[in-house]
Amino acid sequence: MKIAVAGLGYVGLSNAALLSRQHDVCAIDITPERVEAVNAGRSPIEDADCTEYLAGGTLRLRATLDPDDAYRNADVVFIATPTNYNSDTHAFDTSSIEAVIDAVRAVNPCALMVIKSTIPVGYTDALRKRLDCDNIIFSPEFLREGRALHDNLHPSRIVVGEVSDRGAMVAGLLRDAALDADVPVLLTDSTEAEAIKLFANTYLAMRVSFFNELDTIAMATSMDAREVIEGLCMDPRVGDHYNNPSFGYGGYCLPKDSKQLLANFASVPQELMAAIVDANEARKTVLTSAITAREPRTVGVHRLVMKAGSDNFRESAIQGIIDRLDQAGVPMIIYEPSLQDDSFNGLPVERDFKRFCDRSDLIIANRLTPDLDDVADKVFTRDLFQAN
Amino acid sequence: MRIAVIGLGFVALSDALALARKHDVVVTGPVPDRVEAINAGRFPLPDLTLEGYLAAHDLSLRATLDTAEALKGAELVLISSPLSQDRATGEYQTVELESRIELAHRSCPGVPIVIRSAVPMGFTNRMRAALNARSILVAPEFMRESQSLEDALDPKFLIVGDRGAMGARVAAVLQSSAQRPGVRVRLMGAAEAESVKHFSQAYLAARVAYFNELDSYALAKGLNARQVIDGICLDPRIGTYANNPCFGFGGQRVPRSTAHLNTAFGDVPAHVLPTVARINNARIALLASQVMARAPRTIGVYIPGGATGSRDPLEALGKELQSQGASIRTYSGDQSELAGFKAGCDMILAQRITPELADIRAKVFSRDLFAAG
Repeated sequence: MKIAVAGLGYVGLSNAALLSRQHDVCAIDITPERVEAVNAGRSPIEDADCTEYLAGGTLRLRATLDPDDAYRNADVVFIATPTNYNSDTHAFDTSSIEAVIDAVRAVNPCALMVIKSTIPVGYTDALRKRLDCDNIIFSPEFLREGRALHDNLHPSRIVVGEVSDRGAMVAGLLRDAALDADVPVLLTDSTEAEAIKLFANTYLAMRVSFFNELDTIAMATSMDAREVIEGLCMDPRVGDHYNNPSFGYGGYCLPKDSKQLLANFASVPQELMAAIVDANEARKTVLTSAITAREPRTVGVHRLVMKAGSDNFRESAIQGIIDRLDQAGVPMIIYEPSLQDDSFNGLPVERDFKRFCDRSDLIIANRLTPDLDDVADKVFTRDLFQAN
Repeated sequence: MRIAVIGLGFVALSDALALARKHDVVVTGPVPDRVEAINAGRFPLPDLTLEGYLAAHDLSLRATLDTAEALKGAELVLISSPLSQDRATGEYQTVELESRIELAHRSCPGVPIVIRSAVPMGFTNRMRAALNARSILVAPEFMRESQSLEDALDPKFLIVGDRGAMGARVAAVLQSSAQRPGVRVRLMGAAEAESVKHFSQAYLAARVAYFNELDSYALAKGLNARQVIDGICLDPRIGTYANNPCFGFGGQRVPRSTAHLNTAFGDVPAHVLPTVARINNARIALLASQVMARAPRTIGVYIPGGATGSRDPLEALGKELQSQGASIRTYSGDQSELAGFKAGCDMILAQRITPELADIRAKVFSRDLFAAG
């Protein structure tokens, strides 16, 4: 089968790599560097499995900048372009998806289009009606940044938002390319598939917030948060995972998906959905107070990335703390090896780790890494388990 | 070992029954007919599992009204006490528990006195200070209300609120009654152990509340809630348990813990925890509007176990509908009234769809998405 994949971010690249194990895949992006990298067998994103599979040379994958080249002969087009949350309109910006759909239909009206990007609940149905086009299906992705291809090769489940033969065909493409046998497959209606994505991520945001609020309470009452969490998580109904306190939930998905879901509730009575969104802001405010209470002269910000292994700092929780400290007039310096610039949002970047440590009298780190061992007494973190 | 168990509720009796396989247990409390029943080899509360267990095992168990006598010679004391809670302030009434602890401490100085109830955070340390007694400690129980003996015999884990040798001793005794060897034990501070109990209730309440809000959304938007729940629970970090929507979480213990966390830390900025404490309100408002939109003439409120009190979300829903002018009829488990109840209502609200509702399934309004059949 001939497959096109639009977008070479985490989602697009990992799906392109996955499907090109068995099919001819042409990936398309608007960034020449990404296209060149893929064609040279290099991964344009930080992802161990993507790097390995692309370098291995066994994939039937090529990349292009030309829509005509990518779409004209494709049987199926996977759409994995970014949909950022717009806080003014309270909705994801879906314009990049619609641009791809227009381009596909211009050269190949029969192609089946599968949206992998995260979209608002009800979007696919509305779009089909508006464009008078039935060839659009939604299939949510459930992958983690930095482990995107791994999670596609070992999926927890495959969900396709159409109960039909072609829905089953799309699910089969994804399932057959996975390495695990017996991956659960769910064909649902399209709006339900959209809701699955947002409700799954918002549940995880709730879990992160729950453990962060537990930690906030423990800080306020001088309880040993680690003991409480370890005790609580012995209960199999709570589970011993995803329970490490942090500066807040962050990354590309959880903040925007929980906000989008809250916006989708609109007039439906709810309390928890709003609390999950508010909890993340309150957490950052609490921690900012705890940091300023120590009256630091210079705060060193150790890493802007959300967690180890990630190569970008979209919506990382520490940025919310930086903003608050900045408003409070606290001097800061940034240490972030993946940053090329000399400053970040007007704050000086210190590239030399030793000088960074010397210049900071308090170092804030969302996650502890071994390089901080020598300056442990300067570090402010809520990372209790040294895990993500 | 000679063990005294103070209390005659489900927790105390389940502890006593489990421990009496290995130890000499005397259970005590001020309820004559319960004491009499135990000494006659019968279980004093309506529960077939516990009744059968009592008959099937050779237990060293007796009951007495005389607490002082029960404490005589005890090498370990377990105390469970019903705690009432001020609904407005969320504060627990611990007077009775305190007097039981004092009595045990005076009768058995130096003997470990183990609080099993879900006491407010900081309570055990206050008692230790007030009585100058290191031997008072807390080991919260994690039994499910309907399966307390199973859980007492097969605990998944044990939490003991003492980091020292006393804690280890108590943990060893509690472990000895488990049917499976190698139950995991965690020793920790007293306040930490108390809070594990409340956070555990709150986590499960948050989970129930989350699936209920998902279901509210599906109901309002005409989505298939079951599809959405199946899709999200296949994530192993979310899991396929405790995910069946209901009218709201109920029972005694969960609302108590959430209210306690809410009031105990009123000045700590938090959102998820306080919200969970009041979450039933939004759910009931949504359900009431859904029910009224169907314009029923007579609404049946189906509570086969009988009314449990004002915290039952189904009762709260019934009251809300009544205040909106609906005609309500309640079934509380009296079998002779069931046929008339079914015939006299054109809509029946049920938390869970039981087999006896099978013949009028079309009349039933429930959010039980995982009902058999």
